[in-house]
Amino acid sequence: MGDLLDIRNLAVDFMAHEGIMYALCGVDLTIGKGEIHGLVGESSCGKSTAAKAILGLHNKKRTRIKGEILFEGSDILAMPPREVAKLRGSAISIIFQDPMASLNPLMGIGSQIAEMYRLHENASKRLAREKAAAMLEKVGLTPSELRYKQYPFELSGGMQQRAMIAMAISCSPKLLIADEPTTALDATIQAQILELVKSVSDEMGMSVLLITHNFGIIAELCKRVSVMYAGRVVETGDTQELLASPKHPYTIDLIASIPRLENSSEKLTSIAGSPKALYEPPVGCQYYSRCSRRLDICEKQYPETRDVGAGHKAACHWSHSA
Amino acid sequence: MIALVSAQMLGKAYRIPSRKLGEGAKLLHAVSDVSLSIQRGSIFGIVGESGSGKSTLGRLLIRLEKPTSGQLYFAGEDVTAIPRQRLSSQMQMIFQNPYGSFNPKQKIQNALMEVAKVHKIPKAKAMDLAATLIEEARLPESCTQRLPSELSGGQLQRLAIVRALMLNPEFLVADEPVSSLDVSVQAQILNLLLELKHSHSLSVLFISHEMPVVKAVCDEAAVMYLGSIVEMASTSELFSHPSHPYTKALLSAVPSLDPKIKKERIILKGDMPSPLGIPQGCPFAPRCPQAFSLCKTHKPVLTEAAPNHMASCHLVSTDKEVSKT
Ligand SMILES: Nc1ncnc2c1ncn2[C@@H]1O[C@H](COP(=O)(O)OP(=O)(O)OP(=O)(O)O)[C@@H](O)[C@H]1O
Ligand SMILES: Nc1ncnc2c1ncn2[C@@H]1O[C@H](COP(=O)(O)OP(=O)(O)OP(=O)(O)O)[C@@H](O)[C@H]1O
Ligand code: SF4
Ligand SMILES: [Mg+2]
Ligand SMILES: [Mg+2]
Repeated sequence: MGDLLDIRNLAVDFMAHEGIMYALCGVDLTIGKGEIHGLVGESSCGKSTAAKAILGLHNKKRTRIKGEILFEGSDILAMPPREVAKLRGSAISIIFQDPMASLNPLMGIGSQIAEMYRLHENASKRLAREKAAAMLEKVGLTPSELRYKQYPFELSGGMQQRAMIAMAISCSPKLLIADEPTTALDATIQAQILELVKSVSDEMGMSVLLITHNFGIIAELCKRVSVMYAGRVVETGDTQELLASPKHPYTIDLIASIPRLENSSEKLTSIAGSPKALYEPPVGCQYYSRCSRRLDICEKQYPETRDVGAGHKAACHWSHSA
Repeated sequence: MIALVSAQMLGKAYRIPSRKLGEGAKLLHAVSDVSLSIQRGSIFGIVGESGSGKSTLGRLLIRLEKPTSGQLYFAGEDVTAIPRQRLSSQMQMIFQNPYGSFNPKQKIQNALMEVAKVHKIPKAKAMDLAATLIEEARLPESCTQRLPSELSGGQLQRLAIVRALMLNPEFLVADEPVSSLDVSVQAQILNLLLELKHSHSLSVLFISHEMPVVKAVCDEAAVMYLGSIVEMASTSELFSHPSHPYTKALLSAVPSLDPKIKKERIILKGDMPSPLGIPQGCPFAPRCPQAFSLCKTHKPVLTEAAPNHMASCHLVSTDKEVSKT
């Protein structure tokens, strides 16, 4: 209803050299208008694959996509490519995990941002230049006279990320997909950037899908959070509630692995084992082999997603029986 | 004991060509006067603001770039006297951006074989080593048959680690090596590094923004600000008694899971000064919540805040003066 984005039962299969790989097997995710939604999960569980599907960025020949991605009510998967391309960069913009992916290596970063303004706001050259310089200041790329003219390779890793963020929000999208946007930023600048994203979200009602491994960021910025494991969303809920009482064993184990400043032991905690890549549609629960709470039924029967509290859902037999 | 890596007053200035007529080129001081030593079998952490010169320092230490000033010694020998081939087989770097460090058109398998060939490791031995590391990094075997674009960010980052470690280096510069990994896989990789440190006396320069990670894996750490080291100590000392105001601000800004902790954050106003014209006085003065008149006129030098704990801040040096008298 009030949802800007409603992903239903999204499945993505890759035709990999070794066979068909089931990267996403039925992802459900909704993001409201103006909502900042966190997405966490184990490396390679399919977060970027889901993000790219929203923007229609998968190679059509080598991927098979099923399900629905409703953006303002219309299904992106059913749109002609031209319309999807039009959404990209205007209504929906993305900050890729690869900090160089959307920067032109042969152009100063200031001009790239100015170009963005000119395209989207039909602004004059001079106005676009001013806007771009102001945006550089906002993301802490100072002094802007120096940074405006620098090429991407002359910037530090964190500066490249900030240049991407500046580009992505300068076209005032309705939905910003940010795939690990602040991994190269120290805590002080990270706080400044996230504050900026939050203020743009508050002022313009921009929704954000924020993919991150940093639970601190989730706790401070996101209203709701979804946890993915092996191609599915296994838990969704209100951030405070989910962090305080996680219901899915993977979420419980993941939160227990967070390194904390207060800890003093040398060895870090990690979840034993690793997820298996899926070359056949899954039967039981994917976490079964690693789960310390597993029941007999878990191996044979796929756990459905069910309510486990107010606005809190999980896909797990154990948490359903508790 | 001779340190494995020792830098003395190391500096790097980039020439920024003028884009205006009649104006000369300017110098951007990315790293200035950095002195540090890294012992065998120890992990040395570097933290600091984005753009403060951490990656540049890393590239200087493994001779990927030439410094514009200062000296660098490897196991006591001046590096400029060591043949390139020997140096490069002993040092490896894991780059900050794993996407940029793989050829997008080359299968991972071939990329791994290529480095083995360059370093003259027999093919079978290299394959074995890579396979073991791939398993330890919890990567599926099939990943070596893929192109970089067919892997997830964290998978590629782990393959960059595999590629560096399969050469069995003595010294590793790891530039944000686990930034794209979830906390559980991250722990697995860090435990692997800790293991290699103990079993192979591997030495690491570990650049990271994650304070809890630095605290957990590093023996010593230095904090950089605008190209210089502003504080340096053992990690236990640094985290329990941070003495530079920038270090304090950095630690207070670490996002917390606990919504109640938010309020104690030290907010820094203003931006890092331009690296083109580093101001007189303390480079942190314009943003420092504790700055006083001396800070605006005199540059503080690294002084001992406590045994083996150096900081460059007038508050620390004046404190010392006071306690001496
Ligand atoms: N083009 C492709 N062809 C084949 N397999 C692919 C392709 N792209 C991704 N994959 C595989 O799909 C899985 C999901 O990848 P994805 O990039 O979505 O993970 P992720 O959750 O973003 O992980 P990370 O946190 O490491 O970035 C991985 O196993 C990856 O190797
Ligand atoms: N090739 C280059 N030419 C000109 N300036 C450069 C070049 N490489 C780096 N710089 C500048 O040197 C400074 C330090 O950059 P560096 O990449 O070392 O920072 P960093 O501490 O690694 O930052 P981050 O945490 O964001 O990666 C920056 O101001 C950057 O713009
Ligand atoms: S469904 Fe069973 S195996 Fe899966 S997470 Fe829940 S308890 Fe563990
Ligand atoms: Mg990803
Ligand atoms: Mg860097």
